[in-house]
Amino acid sequence: MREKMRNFFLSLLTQDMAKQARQVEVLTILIFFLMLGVVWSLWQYKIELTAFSEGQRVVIGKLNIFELLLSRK
Amino acid sequence: MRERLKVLSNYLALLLPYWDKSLLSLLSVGLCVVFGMATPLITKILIDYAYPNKDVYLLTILVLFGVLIFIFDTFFSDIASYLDTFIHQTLSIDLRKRFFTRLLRLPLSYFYEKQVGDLMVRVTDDIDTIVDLIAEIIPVIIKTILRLISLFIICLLIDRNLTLLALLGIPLYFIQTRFFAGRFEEIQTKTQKQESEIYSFYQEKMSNIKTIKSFNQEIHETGRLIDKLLKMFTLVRENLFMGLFNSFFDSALVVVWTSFIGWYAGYRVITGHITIGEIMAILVYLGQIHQPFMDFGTIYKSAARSFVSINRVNEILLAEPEVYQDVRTFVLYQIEGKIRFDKVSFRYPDTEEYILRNISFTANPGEVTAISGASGAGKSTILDLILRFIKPTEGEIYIDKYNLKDVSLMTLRANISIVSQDVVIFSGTVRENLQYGCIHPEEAKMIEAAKVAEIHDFIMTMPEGYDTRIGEGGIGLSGGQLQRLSLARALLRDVKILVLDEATSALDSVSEAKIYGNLKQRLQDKTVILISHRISTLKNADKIYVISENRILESGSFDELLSRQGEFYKFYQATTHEAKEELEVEE
Repeated sequence: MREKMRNFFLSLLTQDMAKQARQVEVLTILIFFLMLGVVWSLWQYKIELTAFSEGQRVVIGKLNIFELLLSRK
Repeated sequence: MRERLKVLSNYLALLLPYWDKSLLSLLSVGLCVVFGMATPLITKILIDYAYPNKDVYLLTILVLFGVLIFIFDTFFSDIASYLDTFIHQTLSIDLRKRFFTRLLRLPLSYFYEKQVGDLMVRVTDDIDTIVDLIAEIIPVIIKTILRLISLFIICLLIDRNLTLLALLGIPLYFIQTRFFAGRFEEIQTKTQKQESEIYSFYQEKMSNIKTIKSFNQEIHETGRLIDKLLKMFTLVRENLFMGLFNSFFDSALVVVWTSFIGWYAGYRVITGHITIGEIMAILVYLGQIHQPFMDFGTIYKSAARSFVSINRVNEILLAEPEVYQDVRTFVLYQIEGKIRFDKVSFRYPDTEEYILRNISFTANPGEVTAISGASGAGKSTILDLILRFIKPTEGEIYIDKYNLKDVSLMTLRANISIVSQDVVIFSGTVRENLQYGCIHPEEAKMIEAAKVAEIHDFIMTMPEGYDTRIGEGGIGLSGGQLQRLSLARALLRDVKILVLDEATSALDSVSEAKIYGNLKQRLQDKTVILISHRISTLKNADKIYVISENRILESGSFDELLSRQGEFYKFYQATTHEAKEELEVEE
């Protein structure tokens, strides 16, 4: 597997432009799916929002990062 | 507008072979747009929530998320850039190939009308501009539209009133962009035309440098160039002024519009409608909205330039090419090589004056048929007619039993070799030049052809023999050596019909006689057409047709024509001194 990965990355340095472009496409698609995985993980991960109340930190809500960024309150 | 979109769609079809790469590039661009939206939102949460609540955990999460966004953004932006470059380069090759193929298939008359420099600009600058339009401008348009839509959606989510107010400024942008684009296009058309003229000028002067020097015209030609450059400068200046006005109006519009929106945003914070974090985010977004609008202005101007180029390139791509071969044409295969002109007349379109009138003659295989006459009598036009560079205005030309107009152009030219008075040598080795147009070049045949043309011994004295570089960047050759080389090239093709158009004009009579002696042995079953007005050359012909005032005046063998004491005899008399000298030398 390690050898295959090594060959794949080495082939990105090939002089054959068409072959190189094809390898870049494959790499992009791989990274795209990796990104989807990261997005899915982030969607699942709930961030605890806390605030100070009477000298103590209390949890006021749980949101994922996307909900948090788009929330108005 | 509809017409333009139709033309553009034809060019966009060139992207079809790269649909996968284009799609991936667009996907990457789309992702970058989305990533670009995140940073102001992160800032908003930091200002409105993390800092006031001293929430280190949230601060850490947001920073890590920002880093992740940055990594993906950089990766996809680089990928989009790589794929765009790939598409740009391959499209450029595709379009140049298409253009050059069509250009070479256009009739010769087309090249008489166009200047070489103009065609050079079309094949370089104009094609670059079109490729820029397809490979760069269109992705930028899509990116800009995606960015605008995302920005407006996100702004609407934060503050609807502020966003709707921001939208009101858009029509102003379009009005001013449209106003300037029309003027830019007008100037651009003139600039590209002038650019072509300058290229043509350079090209013409460089190819005729000897004449310029011999007539002491260096200063005069420099003056002419300065005139052209000044015209170009005027156009560039107009373009520059227009650009300055455009840029000023662009900036003024942006400043007035954003100031007003900034004021209103502040008012919304003071009245408690939005938070400080939200105003920070929305101002960043509105700032980002300006860029796409400014980009639209630039794109519009670039597109205007591209459409001028599209029209110029389309002139070539849509021009009627010569039909080389189709189902209606005869394929010339194993022909005898008999050529017959039947009452052929020719005049160029749009002119009244005939160059040839009612010409009839036959050139038989195994014979040397000469066409003679004074300069400008139309001798070389006969060569152009045989090769079908031009078509007879009246009358017919036959090869064996086939009418020339019904014959496949490709096989017609494959059966004819010409040695023209203007010898063309391509930059390359002697071997490459000799084997030009020869389908199966053999070393032994090449050497034999060179020997017949009396050039072999000279080639062997060159530093690398047949592998010596000649032409541009190589060894220079004399007129006589060039003609011998050209003759050897024609002989190597070993075809049925050989046309020699003043082919030995740069040779002395002794060398000429020697070469014709060699040729007679080699060309026993071939049709040889000699076009010349040199007595020493015409003596080698079996039959001579004398052309004067655009028609055949008399015909016969050399001796017959002399004994008839007609036009040819007068011509012989006029050049008798030269002829006598030549005959003496030969004897």
